[in-house]
Amino acid sequence: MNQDNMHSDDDAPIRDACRNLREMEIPSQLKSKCLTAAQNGLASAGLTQSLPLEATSSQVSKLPVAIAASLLVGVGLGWILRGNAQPSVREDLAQIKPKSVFMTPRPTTNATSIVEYQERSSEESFFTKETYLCGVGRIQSKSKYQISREQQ
Amino acid sequence: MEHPLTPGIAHRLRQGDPEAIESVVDTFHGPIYRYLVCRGSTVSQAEELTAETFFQFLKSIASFRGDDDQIRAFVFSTARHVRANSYRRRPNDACSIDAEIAIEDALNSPVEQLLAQERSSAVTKAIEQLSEVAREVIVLRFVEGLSVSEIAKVCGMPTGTVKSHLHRAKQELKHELSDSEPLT
Repeated sequence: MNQDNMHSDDDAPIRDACRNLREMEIPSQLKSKCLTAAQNGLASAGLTQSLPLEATSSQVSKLPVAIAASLLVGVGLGWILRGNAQPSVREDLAQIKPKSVFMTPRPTTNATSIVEYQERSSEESFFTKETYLCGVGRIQSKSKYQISREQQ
Repeated sequence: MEHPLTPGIAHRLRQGDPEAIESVVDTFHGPIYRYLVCRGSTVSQAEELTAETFFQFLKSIASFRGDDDQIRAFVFSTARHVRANSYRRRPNDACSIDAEIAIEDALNSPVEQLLAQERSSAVTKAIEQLSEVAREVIVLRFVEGLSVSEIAKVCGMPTGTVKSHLHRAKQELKHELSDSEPLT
């Protein structure tokens, strides 16, 4: 306590009268309450020393994570759509009708007559199946040449 | 009683040093609480305002440009502003009403009962009879032991004005105390 200029005879009665007030008991939980308030005040003033470094490093580390997550999502969607697209691709749309293209008569070694040739007619088809992912582009392409024989 | 502050504490407070903060809280939480009670706050109000004082003190510590020996005046100045803002929000809380509320609060615990007894003592009654400025300088000078220059910083007035108020306050207080009980 600062005692400068306090110890004068005139002030002694007042000083003695105020002794009980100076010795007032302080609540026990007050210090922890004040400490918490002080730390909150410091935080609100932005004087927490480690805060800027944590903010910077967290922003830097977020970028590659975001890129990786985007790639994974894109690949995952591609796989899902590829799997879903297989049954829904209408192969018949891409089929070229065999009769319109391949039904030019071709001599077969074993055919002895036109009827035999007709009996041994084959259906040939060629188709291409492509899968496209919106926003990505063509992710799969499959071409197929198919010959099927019909036996009567 | 106050513990002396370690040298360089003002700089460390501006850096946000946790040990410096704890040292300041440890040193001043008692005196601030005592000051607020003597200025008419109830026990619960004094606790709340004391915590608010340290919140505001640390919040504005970056703007504090003083040395270590000016920290006490800065803390008490903050407490004074916190108290003034509190009473501005609650304009009906005059000193006499606070005293009655303090007596009601005193019934809650032994500490508060003792404080109620203190407040009913002659000196507290005499202090409550003083004018606002006189009450301020008397409490800061004789209860908290601040110097005249520190009181001038806390109250925002010249040292000559503080001395004038202090002289007048002492005369009034002596008169009040002599009316209530004989002084030896």
